[in-house]
Amino acid sequence: MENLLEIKHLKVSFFTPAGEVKAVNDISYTLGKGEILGVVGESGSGKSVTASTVMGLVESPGRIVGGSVIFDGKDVTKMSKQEIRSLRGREIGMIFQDPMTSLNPVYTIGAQIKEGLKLYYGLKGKEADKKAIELLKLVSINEPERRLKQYPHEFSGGMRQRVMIAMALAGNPKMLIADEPTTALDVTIQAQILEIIKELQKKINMSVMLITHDLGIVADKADKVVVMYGGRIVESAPCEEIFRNPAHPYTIGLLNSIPKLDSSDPLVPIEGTPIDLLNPPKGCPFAQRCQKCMKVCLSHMPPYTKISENHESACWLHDPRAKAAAGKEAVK
Amino acid sequence: MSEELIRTEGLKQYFHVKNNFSRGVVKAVDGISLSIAKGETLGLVGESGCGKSTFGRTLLRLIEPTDGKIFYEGKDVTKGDFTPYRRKMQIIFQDPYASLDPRMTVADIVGEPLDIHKLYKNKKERKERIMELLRMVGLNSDHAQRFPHEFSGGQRQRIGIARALAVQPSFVVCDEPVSALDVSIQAQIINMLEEMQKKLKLTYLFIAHDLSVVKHISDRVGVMYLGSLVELAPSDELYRNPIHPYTQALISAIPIAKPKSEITTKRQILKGEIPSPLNPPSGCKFRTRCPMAKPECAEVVPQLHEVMPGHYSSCILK
Repeated sequence: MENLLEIKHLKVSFFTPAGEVKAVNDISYTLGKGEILGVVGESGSGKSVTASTVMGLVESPGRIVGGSVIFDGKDVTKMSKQEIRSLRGREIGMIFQDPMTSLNPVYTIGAQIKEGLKLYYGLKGKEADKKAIELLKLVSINEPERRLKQYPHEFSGGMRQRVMIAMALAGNPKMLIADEPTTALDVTIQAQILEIIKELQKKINMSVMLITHDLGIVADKADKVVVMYGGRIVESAPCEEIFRNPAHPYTIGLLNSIPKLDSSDPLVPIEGTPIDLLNPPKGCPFAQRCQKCMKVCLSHMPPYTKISENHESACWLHDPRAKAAAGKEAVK
Repeated sequence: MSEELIRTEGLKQYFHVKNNFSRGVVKAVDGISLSIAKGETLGLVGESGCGKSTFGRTLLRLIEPTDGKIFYEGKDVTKGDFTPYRRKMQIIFQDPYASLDPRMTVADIVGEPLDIHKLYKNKKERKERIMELLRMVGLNSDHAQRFPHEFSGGQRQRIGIARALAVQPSFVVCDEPVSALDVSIQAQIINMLEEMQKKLKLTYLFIAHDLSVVKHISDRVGVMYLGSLVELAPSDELYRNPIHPYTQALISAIPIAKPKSEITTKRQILKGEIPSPLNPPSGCKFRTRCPMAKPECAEVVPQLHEVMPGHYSSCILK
């Protein structure tokens, strides 16, 4: 499959008065055309910062310290502000977590959708109305003609998120970044929204970066998955593979800590608290909380080891050198 | 079933809304009758705005009920001084960032309920009790003099739990205690709540919108829709054999973290939005989104009835 997006050794840091926060620390992944990539991680794992970087939205005190983001053959990190502006909306659409605050409360829904249409295509008046109605139909909003004249407060959360999707699609983008698109919504509405995203992705062969903390959503919708922890990618694999055969202790821990509907076994939590990115540990970011932590984990960053085709894990356990020494060096 | 601890009869909570946009009555809790046995965990699920949190708060008279009755150990506590019962009935809030006073130290937060109910003889005893509570929830004495902002979400929720348990309650309303936390931390808190329940013989009303969490922790589960209880059953039974069409849709909408090829059930996606609680549909409130709705659903106001022993549903079609 042809790659639409290639992130290579990306490093993003925030320079705060308290010190450098390495929010994204040397990550690489690719997104193919028409593919849905699930990015999983806890708050502070760097998943949203990565998305912001792709959109050129990292602002001071944040800075890209290294690496590149190649979108459709061009490096976003080297673009001028003007070039990035032409990318946003037209090439990459984005929807945010909170549909309640992402829309402007003092403009009608129609005005907000048409703003993009004017910018991208120079559409005005009746033509713009027509296109806006088309977009609202695309995201299954009833009576779009009447809805265009309404304000955000007259819409429910699910409908606002659909309006956000309509706006993101106005520029006919090649890629949609959905940053926790359903976290603020109820399960039945969540199912509707995810279904719309999936359908549209099929219909217009769009690539989707689906950022979420919910492994269930990823299992259902994504083609491949990257799991992030403490600014690093700890595991990446095709979707089926990661749920069938998880390799990294963090991924396994995550899967064990969610309650399952078909069993009432006690939950196995991941002990400890997420790492402090201001003072990250020297070795593996997960080492402090890992059940299988070895001496080497505390001092050296684990390299990526290939588990199987397209399946990589950043854990010393899978490294052939560590395997040889296993048993002797167990810390816990 | 074992002895009952809490019972409500037709509990109602109506809010009068009057502003520039709309006026009317929101029936947030519209006549809920249920009982919770000693040592039981009753789960309450439903979408936002269905009244589950309002029910929990009304039960503790944090908001005075519009109508209906609340019983504690068979005694009517709906009217009159509630202070002695407040010691028995506590609450853990959803948002660990908003529910702790940022200007109080952890020791003072946990100690405040002790002060109010005068549960110590001298300062030394107060301090010892606070330390004991902190240890119980997995914090240590170093944490006592710190302020809430120095803690992560999971740790703050632990402080909230210590505060609720300070007065040795027998009943705790857990109002979405884990929904603001990261997945890996959620399991820690859930396990701790279960452990506390065993150790201190607590009874829980566990309110959440995450159905898998509720299934895990609850003995029985009630499902709410727009202020009414639509189904109530033992936890396993409810998930294995949901009767009400709303419960069926809700359960089918849960995303499951398993390879797609292992999931056999077809996802059922509900059409439409939740109706405005200011202007709910006549008859069955769910009929506007119900895939099985019939004309009679608009006319009859459905009542909860026993379909199988211990399994109640309000759907008139079943």
